[in-house]
Amino acid sequence: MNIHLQLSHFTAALLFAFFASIVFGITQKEGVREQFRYGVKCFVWLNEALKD
Amino acid sequence: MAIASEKINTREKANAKEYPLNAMGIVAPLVGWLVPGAGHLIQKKWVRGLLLMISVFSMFFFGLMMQGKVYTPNTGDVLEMLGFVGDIGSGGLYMLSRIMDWGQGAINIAAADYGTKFIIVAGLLNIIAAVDAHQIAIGKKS
Repeated sequence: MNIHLQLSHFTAALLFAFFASIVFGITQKEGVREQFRYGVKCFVWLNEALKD
Repeated sequence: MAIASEKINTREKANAKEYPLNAMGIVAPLVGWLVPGAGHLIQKKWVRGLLLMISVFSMFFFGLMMQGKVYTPNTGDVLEMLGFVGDIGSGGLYMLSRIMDWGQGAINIAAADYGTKFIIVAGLLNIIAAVDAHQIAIGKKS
């Protein structure tokens, strides 16, 4: 692939957490409200875990 | 003899009730594996399907743009084989990357390792999405 992207550790962690939490939210809970809440929780947890 | 066959029939009926497998239950996860999010789209779960599609596609292509590696089978190294198992979860995206020869170049930046993980995780997330499509198809999830 010709496009090259160089991300910092923090930006890569943010992107990773964002996409992973969307999938976790949709697949692990039922109901839009619950899915959204779980997605946000996952995003926060993943960022806490990945930022160090 | 009659009692035994009756018992078997009752057990089969109970199993069918607990796990009502239908054609969509087989087709949806397969389609979802081949094209991320499509397992939900064919069941008319438009928003969920699109969000899953965007997430998996984005992770996979961000991984490639970060010069991540796409693993090949039978390299002899256990860690590479595990990487391949993760990558193959992306289904059609993995096949496309092999056809186009993406992710095979020499890694020359440190961030490429993040890219490799992005590609593997995109595959693993797609497997979760395909299982979710199956659960919706058999009625275990709305």
